[in-house]
Amino acid sequence: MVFNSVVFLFCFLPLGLLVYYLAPGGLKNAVLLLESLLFYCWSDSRFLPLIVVLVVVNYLAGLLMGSLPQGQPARKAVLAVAVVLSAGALVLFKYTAWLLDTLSGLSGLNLTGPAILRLLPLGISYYIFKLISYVADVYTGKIKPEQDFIAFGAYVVMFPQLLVGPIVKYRDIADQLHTVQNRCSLPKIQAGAEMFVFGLAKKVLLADGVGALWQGVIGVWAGNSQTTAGVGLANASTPLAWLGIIAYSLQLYFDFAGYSEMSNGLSKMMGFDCPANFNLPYISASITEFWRRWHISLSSWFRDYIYIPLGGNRKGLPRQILNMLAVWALTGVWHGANWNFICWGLYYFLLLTLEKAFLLKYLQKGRIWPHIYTLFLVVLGWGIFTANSAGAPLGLLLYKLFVPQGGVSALYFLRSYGVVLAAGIVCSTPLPGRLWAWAKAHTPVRLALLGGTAVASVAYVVAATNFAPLYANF
Amino acid sequence: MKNNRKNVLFAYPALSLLAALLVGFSLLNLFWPKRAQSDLENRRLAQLPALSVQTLLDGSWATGFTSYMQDQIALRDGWIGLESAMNSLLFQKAEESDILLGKDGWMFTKQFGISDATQKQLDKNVSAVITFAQRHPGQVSFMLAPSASVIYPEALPLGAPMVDENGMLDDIFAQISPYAQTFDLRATFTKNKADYLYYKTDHHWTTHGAYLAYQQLCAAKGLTPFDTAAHPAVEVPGFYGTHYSATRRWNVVPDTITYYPLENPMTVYQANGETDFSPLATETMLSTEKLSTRDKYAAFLGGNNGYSVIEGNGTGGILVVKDSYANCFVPFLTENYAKIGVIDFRNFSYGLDAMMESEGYDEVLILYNFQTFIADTKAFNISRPSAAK
Repeated sequence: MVFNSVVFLFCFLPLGLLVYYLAPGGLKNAVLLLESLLFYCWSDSRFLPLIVVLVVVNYLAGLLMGSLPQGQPARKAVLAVAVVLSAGALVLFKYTAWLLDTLSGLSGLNLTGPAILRLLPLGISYYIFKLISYVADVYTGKIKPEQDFIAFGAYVVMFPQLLVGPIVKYRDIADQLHTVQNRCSLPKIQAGAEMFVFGLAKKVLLADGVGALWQGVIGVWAGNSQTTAGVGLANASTPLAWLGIIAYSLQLYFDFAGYSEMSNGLSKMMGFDCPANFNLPYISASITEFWRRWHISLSSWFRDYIYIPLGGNRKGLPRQILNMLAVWALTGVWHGANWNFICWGLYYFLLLTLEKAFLLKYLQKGRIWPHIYTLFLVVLGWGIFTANSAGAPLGLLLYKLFVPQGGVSALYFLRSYGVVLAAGIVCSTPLPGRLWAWAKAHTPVRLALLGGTAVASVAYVVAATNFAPLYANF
Repeated sequence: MKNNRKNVLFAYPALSLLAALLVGFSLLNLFWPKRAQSDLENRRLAQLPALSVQTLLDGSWATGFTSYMQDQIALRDGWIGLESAMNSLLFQKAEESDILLGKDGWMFTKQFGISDATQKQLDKNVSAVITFAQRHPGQVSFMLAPSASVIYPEALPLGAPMVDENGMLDDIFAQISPYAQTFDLRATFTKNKADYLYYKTDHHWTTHGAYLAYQQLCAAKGLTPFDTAAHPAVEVPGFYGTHYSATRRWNVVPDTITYYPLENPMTVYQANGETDFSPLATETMLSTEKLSTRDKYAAFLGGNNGYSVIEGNGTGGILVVKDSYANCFVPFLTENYAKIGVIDFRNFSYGLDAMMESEGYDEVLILYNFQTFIADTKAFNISRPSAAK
């Protein structure tokens, strides 16, 4: 079930909230857990046993580590077992098919493996990272292990974060999981509901709206077969190729940021304050800054559980660069089992290393050019990122972008998507935030904006066919 | 208490508004009457799926329920109209649901490219026509109606990168013309483009467009065309076609359908085998009751029946192998032939060789529109060899 569907908005959400609000404080976690399991199993319950086993294993690992004194080697062993099992499940379900295909390609053998390993279990990339963050934090003593199995289960599978995160750490919401009285207050519910509406609008008005441009270029694909022909990247002119990946960059941002905002809004309505996952990434003045503003929950996970444990910047420059390499190779691979994601990760490793080595101090002095530099490289990065999708092979895309050439012009697409592109660009800046801050003090304006956005978004939800979030594939 | 509630309402105005919208609309939605069919969308709507342990466990109930909620939402037509109006007015989009919104109320099928699958299908269909024509030398005519966007390119949205349909038509005609008599209508249509040749809200040509094509056929075959002056035409206004269904263009101007009332009987057959047909019903060529529904074009030839036979006033037999473009074209043929057979491969899955002999057809007209012909997955049946031989 996706948030941008009628069944979620007008059936699951009102009923789910009603039961949750009516439930006494002590039962709220149980209600959240049950609702989340229903949400998870909605159309496919095959992977339910997997998530149950992993939740039990990590819960027990937490308890076990908590019962052992700090510094005892057995603690490390427990951590290792929990992490290996969790990460192992991720590797097994996410990468086996790719590894087998790659091996088949190299060896000439026909290795297919079981069919179930060719399906990506819903939300696996997100809940496994939540689990690892939990056991790692218990191990380092940052948090006390969760005693209450229901509360722990509710944290891992809570439906607002189940499909595409954000990867909220247990320590960020542990207190609220144990708030029995007044967990949900009216101001919080109001703030959460507003956040949800604007998140929904970003997804259905902006992301889906601008996403049609890129589809007009590469066509609509189901796997490797084209269901609707576009102009074809091979026929596109250089300006159209650029316009296409700019549109894709906006689509990806509003798709994921909108979904994260819906998720955080829902969490807030249920009494949980989760850190923002995006902070206007496209206004960054360096790649370093960009990665502090884009998919914050993922970058902070890699920082806390890979980069810093490896030594971070405390063991000299060569070691630091090696640590960064590990982080960025893994960040690339996390997005999916494909070479283009690894290339994309290494691309950022190179850029960040260059900035760390010398570029950052020049960037900090500039005013305009650092923004142009950042946007150019980020948009190009999304070109590499999407190059695994059918219809946009990387070699052809780079050829179109960097060898100026004619072909199908960008005119029609500018004409038809100009307004939504402009809206997307404006919404990538702090302007709408400022407008909203002002509107909040003017009730009629606030209500008109909010009501209008909500009604318009529902119209797009009804008319569209529930475009699943792009990040559900990673 | 009352005062207290009022305070909450004012203290949290945004929450009050959103809660009222969510709860109010969810309740409205619960009690909203459910429909079997959407006339505007021209399709069946999903119904509440039957509940069973099996369907619950395999997820099919949930999938069905999701579609049911989506299709049966209260005010569905209004929501879609709002979305379309916002796309046009606010976002200034030049297309909606794969239909281009052209100038002067024109709507065109969007065709920016040809997928590999479509190209393969086209090649297959062309070679099927050639194979069939080779088997029946001198008997086969091939008419392919161009898309409206080829005749009225100036009405396309600015810079629309349409596929080179002219080039493709040239190529198709060049391939087929050595084996069959071909009818390329572009010159005729372009010359008469001031006439009402295509519907603006539908993907079909008008009865007048079909008549011009028919005239061209008569000229080439030396036939005397049906005299439109001698037959009173009936005009049915208020036609909102398939393009309108897809786009819901807010400022749509409806089309007018024209027909000539003819008494010639048409018998629809059920095909039991290659040459074994049993009659289902005999009526006139026009289902007048369809003219009062939204899908008015379906009045012609009673829709897309697999095999039907019309008694004409002329001589000889002609078999028309067609898509729905022929539905308003075929009535004119009653002037020239005694027996007109009509085959629509979407509802007919046999070869034609044996039935041409047994049913007595000495001519075949293959009549498609470009859009259908390039993608039709059934048309290749035309070259299906006879099982009897």
